[in-house]
Amino acid sequence: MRKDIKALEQQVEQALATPEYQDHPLHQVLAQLWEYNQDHWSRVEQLIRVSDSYQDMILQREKTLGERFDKHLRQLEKITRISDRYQTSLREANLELEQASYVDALTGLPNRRKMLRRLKMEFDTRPEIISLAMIDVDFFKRINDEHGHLVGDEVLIAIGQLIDRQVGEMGHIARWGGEEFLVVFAQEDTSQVSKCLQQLIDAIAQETFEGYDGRSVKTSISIGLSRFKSGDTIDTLITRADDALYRAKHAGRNQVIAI
Amino acid sequence: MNDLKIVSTQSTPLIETDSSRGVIYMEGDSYPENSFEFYTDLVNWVSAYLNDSQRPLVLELALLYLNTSSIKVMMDIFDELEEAHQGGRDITVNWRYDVDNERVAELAEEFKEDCSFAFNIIGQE
Repeated sequence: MRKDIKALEQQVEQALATPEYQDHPLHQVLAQLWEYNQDHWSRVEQLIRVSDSYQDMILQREKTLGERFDKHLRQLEKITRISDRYQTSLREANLELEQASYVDALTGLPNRRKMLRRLKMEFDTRPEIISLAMIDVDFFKRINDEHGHLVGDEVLIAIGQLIDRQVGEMGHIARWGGEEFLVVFAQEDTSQVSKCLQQLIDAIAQETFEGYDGRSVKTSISIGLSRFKSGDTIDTLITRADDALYRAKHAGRNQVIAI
Repeated sequence: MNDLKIVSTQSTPLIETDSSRGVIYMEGDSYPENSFEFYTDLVNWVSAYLNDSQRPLVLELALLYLNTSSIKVMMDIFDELEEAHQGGRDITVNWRYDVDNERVAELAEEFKEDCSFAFNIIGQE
């Protein structure tokens, strides 16, 4: 097609250039048509050029946008990974702190905070089977004064372990404060609790604690026991165990008193 | 060119530049309220340094915790350094961290992954 048009164009140009045809009536018409045709072609070529440059621009733009997109995607993936890792370590640190906040640093036993949670949980499930034993080491100040705080600490740790072993599955122990331990029992059979506590008192009284200085320490414990009564709250249960402990102390120590 | 001397705060790192030696120092945590604003001077400094000369650039880093937007800014800076390196520039990053804090090394590794210039992650006792 294109070739034929070239040949036709040549024919027209030749015809227009032939001197004999100059006066022919169709010569002028052909010349005008030819000029119109040339104009038309140059306009089409211009359009093609503009269109091509538009296409180039769009392609270039697409490439730039693509590169930018890839870059952002790569950065996003990386940021997500880093951020996830931060979140994981933060979560782990939080869990660790939470764990630590429930443990008594000296004895490694659950602390007062943990015990209060435990008490609330037991109280919310079956309050009527709760017994609370407030345990205090007798003449603990004397141990500290005679053997020093390090030995005092060792005795506390050992007593804590002994109570924990003796109570076993029957209850949950916590270090309540200074030389005080609190044990919560969820036991229907209260005679089992009393038996357990009496064995505990005997075990401590028989135990000889060895200090790091090689000297041995003998001691005993007093226990105040409170059992759930209707109308009790956690606070009244604790207060009653405290009062019972006070009475045990005044009755000569090394014994359990229940209120 | 004007060098930077930004003192560290609890949430922003120390930033110092030495254009005569071609060194940037950064040290500390980075969680500013607006990281893009905080890092504007540094980003401009890096661009100007790379434009003004063909001299090598060394980054001495002891960065610890970076929040997300700080990470984005650092990635942009490393991308710019990578481009300069592709153009023949001598670039080195020395990222020092405490061996007890492996997380910092992991973070530095993420940045290193996209860089073809010398990127040294140096554990210190």
